[in-house]
Amino acid sequence: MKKSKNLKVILILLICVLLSIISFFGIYLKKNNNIINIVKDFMFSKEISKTTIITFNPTESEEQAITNYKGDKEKINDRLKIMQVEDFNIRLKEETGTMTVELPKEVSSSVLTNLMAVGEFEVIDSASSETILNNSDIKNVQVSNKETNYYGQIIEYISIEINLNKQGIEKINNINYEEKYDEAGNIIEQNIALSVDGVSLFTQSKLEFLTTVKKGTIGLSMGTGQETQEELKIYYEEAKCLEAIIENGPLQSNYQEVYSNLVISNINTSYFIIIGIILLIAMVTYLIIKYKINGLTHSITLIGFIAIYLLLIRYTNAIMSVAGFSAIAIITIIQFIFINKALKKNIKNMGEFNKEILDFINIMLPIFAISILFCFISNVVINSFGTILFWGIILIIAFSYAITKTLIIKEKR
Amino acid sequence: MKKNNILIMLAVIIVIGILVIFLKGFNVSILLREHKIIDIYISQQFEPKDVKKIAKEVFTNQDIVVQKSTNYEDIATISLETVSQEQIEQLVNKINEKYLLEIKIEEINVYDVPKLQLRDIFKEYLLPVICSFLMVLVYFIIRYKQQGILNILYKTVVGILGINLFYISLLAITRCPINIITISTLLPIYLVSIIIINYFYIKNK
Repeated sequence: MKKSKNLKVILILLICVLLSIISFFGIYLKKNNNIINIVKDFMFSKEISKTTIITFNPTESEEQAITNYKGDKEKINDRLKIMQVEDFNIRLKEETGTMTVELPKEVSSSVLTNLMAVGEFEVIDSASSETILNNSDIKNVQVSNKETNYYGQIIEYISIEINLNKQGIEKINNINYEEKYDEAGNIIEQNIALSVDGVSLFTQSKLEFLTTVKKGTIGLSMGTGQETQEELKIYYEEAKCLEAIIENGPLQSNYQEVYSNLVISNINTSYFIIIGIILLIAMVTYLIIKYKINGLTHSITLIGFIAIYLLLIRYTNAIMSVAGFSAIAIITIIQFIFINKALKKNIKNMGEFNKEILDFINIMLPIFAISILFCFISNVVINSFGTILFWGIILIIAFSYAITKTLIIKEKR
Repeated sequence: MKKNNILIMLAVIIVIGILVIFLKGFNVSILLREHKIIDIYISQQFEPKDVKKIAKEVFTNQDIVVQKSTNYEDIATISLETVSQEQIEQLVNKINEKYLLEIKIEEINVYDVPKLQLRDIFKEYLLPVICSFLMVLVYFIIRYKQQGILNILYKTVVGILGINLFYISLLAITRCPINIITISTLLPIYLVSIIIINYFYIKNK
């Protein structure tokens, strides 16, 4: 019985050591004459990686009202949210209208080009050059991935539905289509053109447009069915940009880019790593001095715990931020306290162990609920903190039953 | 008695902190304040601390941050409060001397960066923190109702607010720079304050 338990302990320690090597140093394979680490890398927030900084100045020479610039700032804020950029800051100098936008490095080029577009949406009757619809006639814009069956073949495309408000529908219904003829008696072709900031997005015969839009939706699509998933993703991003600039209405000023750069964070993550190592050394030293061999085995499992935790963060795509680092520290300290408490109590059976776990759950329950709530917040810092914390609490419980239990319980009933 | 003394001391620190915030405000880091940016193309690998040392010699008594920029990390982006033409000349000369370059003064542009409104950052935190606080408050009231609903309400509000205000007061009194790190530490402190209060409720039970 004792021999089998010793084997189990050795096996656990070996697994912990192996996982620690994988997590801290990686697995290196030779691929195309390059040696690469196949273990997934961390995803960092812009505050600790790279930030794209763009500064815009209003082009108007005369000074605009401060409220205009403030309104534009709010619109750009909403645009970025629709464009699904979550980690950003907007700085505004209200007196001059100078605006600096800080974005994560990964933002697509369509976001960068559309961010400060004025966003004047117009549907123009090409024959009379009359504007039929503009931004004030739009209720909302919906972008979605859709599929259609074309002769048995499934075709994926991006659908953009521009829904008109009551005023827009009324305008469309009040337009009477009359056929026009030239001097020779031929029908003159009448088209409408849909444009944003003067750039035509599509042209359609007026009759067809009026018939299809009567219900209140202008339907556009992107994709021919020949696109790869990657291309469709780019189309989707472009469509979301279109949604962002049409739905928010036009900006009150024109802005011109005056500065753009990709800046590397001044926060050195190695400081966090050094603090973490010092903290870990202190915990390990305490365990070894206080509990001797038992302390040593639990120290190895504590290192194994951190290794698994770091792998979990990487493979669940949790974003690492400064708050994320602090969540890792909190979880590690809690795990240390849990081990220390369990060792102190000299747990003899599963019942006592379960009680320990229950006590732990009692203390952590509010925190667990908060971590779940934070996981649903779009702000990168809060989301990162919540996600890392959530996985940490789950791991503490799973790790306790899978590993700590075997090492802690002295006798089995 | 000892417990009361600690509480009085904490309350005094919070009051002093609030006074400092109202009278002097926080010591906000240069990257969050309105500042100027100078980009210098070093065209080789460099250490930001070396450029910062040079910048400190030229722009004396200024809060300066030097960051690497571009994908090649060969541009030094210097953030500072004020800059004059004369100082740019001195800076360029010193950089040329250090890195054996021939950068001309006319190649250097100074850009304005507006301040980042702290309220814009805190606005993002407000809703999640209020929701989570209410959630925790309801949980504590239901779970520990035998300890008295008013008692729980008072202890939770005062406890969580107190711990967080204490941290904010310390930041204000010590003039610790408010930057991304200090702002991010508010979340773990909020969380730890909940763990501490919950622990005491369990202990009293």
